[in-house]
Amino acid sequence: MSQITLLSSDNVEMKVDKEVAERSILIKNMLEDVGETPDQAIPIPNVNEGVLRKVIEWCEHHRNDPPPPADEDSDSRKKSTDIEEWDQKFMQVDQEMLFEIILAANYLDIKPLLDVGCKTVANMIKGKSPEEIRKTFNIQNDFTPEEEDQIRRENEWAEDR
Amino acid sequence: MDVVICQVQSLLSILTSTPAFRIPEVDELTLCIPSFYIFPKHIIEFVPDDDLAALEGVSRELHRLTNDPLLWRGRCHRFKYWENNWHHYATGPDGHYQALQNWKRVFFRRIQLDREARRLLEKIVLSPSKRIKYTEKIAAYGYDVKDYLIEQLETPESATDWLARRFHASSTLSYIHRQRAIHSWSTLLTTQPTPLEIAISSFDLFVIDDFAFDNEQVQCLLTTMRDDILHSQRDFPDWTIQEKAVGIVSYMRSLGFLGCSQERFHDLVNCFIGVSMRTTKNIVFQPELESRLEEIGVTITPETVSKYLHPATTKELVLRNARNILRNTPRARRHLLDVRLDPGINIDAAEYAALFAIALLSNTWTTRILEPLCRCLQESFPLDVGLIEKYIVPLAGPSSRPARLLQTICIALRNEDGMVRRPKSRSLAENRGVLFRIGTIFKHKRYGYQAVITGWTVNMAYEGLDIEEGELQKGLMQPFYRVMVDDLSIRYVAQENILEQRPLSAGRLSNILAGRYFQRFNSLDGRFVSNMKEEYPDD
Repeated sequence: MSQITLLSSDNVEMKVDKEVAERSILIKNMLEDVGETPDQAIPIPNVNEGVLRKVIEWCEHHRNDPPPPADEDSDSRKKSTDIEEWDQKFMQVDQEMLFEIILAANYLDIKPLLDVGCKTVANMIKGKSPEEIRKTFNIQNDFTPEEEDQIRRENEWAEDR
Repeated sequence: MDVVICQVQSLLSILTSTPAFRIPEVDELTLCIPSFYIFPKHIIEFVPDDDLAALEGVSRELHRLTNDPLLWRGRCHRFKYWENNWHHYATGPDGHYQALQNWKRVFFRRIQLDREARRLLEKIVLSPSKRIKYTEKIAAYGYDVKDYLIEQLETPESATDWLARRFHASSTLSYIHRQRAIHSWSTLLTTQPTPLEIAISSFDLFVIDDFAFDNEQVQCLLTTMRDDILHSQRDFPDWTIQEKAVGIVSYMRSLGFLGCSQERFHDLVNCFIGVSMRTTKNIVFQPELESRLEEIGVTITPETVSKYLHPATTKELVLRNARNILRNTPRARRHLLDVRLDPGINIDAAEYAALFAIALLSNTWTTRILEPLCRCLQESFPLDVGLIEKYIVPLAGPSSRPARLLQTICIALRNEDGMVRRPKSRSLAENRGVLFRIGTIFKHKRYGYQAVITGWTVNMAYEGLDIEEGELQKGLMQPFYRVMVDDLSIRYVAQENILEQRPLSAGRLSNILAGRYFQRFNSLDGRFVSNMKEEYPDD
């Protein structure tokens, strides 16, 4: 099993199985373009040691996952917010880390990890009122009272369940 | 080797210098921004419908993001079936098509219809009264509620009323399919007739129980084949009729379709293009039409050929197919046990489709059509009262005998539908002798088959049912039970012939048809749970 070395933004080197690193489409494409295993460390700017370790941990666990289904149909399926148990535990981190994982997953092009991250955020919204959402994510309410009133009226459909 | 190193280095330098080909550089500032402002769209895609309203009320930015038409279009794509095309839904009150702006409205409408259908289906499952009325209400939304009903067909067995729910979802879907078929035939009487392939495959809508398959799919399949032929044979349009026929036949053979042998010619399945395309892959060609004409004594001249062999209209073809069905049903009934002959065709439904088509399109009212049509309506398709009233009664003429007969039946069925069932209470002295409950599974003492009790009466003579008295030790002076046998037939059994069982599994009785009477099978109790509390409150 050939290994490659990744270099985090804060200059920490990490050895990782090539197969694991290739969960990242960015790295996979790059290695394919190069054609052989590079012997120098691949710098991953933007991702610091802590986050990179988390991401590698995820990739290790999911190294044998089948490739995600082709994207063209993704619109039509109802998006499920179900997350498998291991991933749920994995995502039990503070909000800053959660957000950095999402960023790293996007940067490294690891779609399943990006989805898990976004689902985690979506689950934090579930069942909450606007005020509770603001509190959870520290968002400023910039509506005028009139605007708020109008939105409430527009959304009466949602209350009739 | 040098080249490779150069490549690595240039790639690495690209990676390090322009990471922004996906996202902007992360700086200290963005760390303070709430996470879903970074990938709002991606996150919002995962937010459940019911929570979007709350999200919209959080801030101006989120209000803008949650009103993105593309987001709503994506959600609309979740629904597979639509009664009308999207233009219809996106048309504003002023009648103008409002392009992408209205995806949100379209989605709301669908969600509301789903809720309405859920409310109505709930009532249908709960009580036998007004089932016709509520079914008609759901069916008025047509394909707009099909997704919801199909979802209900998959009700998990953990639901307390899963059998009943699946049964009524299925019967409502069948109604919607029949309604669609009949509507398409009715257009053949107008100046805007439906295309042939839709009209012919409408027969399939009566008999197919795979609701994902319908006449539009048959049309799709045929259109694909047509395009295939036109694509591979560029000069096809210039061919003579004979050449075209041969070309089409060899194309279909290449797909695995076979000509129909003489002895299979009258199989019922051949009258249902959708079913046969999917199963037997038999196609029926009228062989040697001219020699057939001669056989029946017509002299072949250009005049007689054009008289008898002119291209048929869609209406004529539908009628011809309907008559073929009626001709083939007696044979299909005889071969009922040989499932190999007619894969999955419900013969009653096939006959009903044919009778309806003939009544609608030929406007002839012989007793050969009228009587079986009335019987179908009363015995197997009482839900279809409204379809008879809407399509058949006006055609027969308001005061004609057929119209009066049909109307009488319709009124009776509607009255019965509106009625609250008279409860059969076990506290009444006359009912004390009834030993077995609704939902009890038993073995027939004499015939050995397994069945489940779906009703009882202490007054068999009054019910006027045909029972061979002589075979019974106690005659008619005992309770009788209406039962569903494991071959799904309905029979009446005297109490003396019932050997109660308490099986762990309901076996073949655990069919969706059991949902007509029961909520579910209770394996702890070894019995079905009654869904007929109104009529049998103590069972």
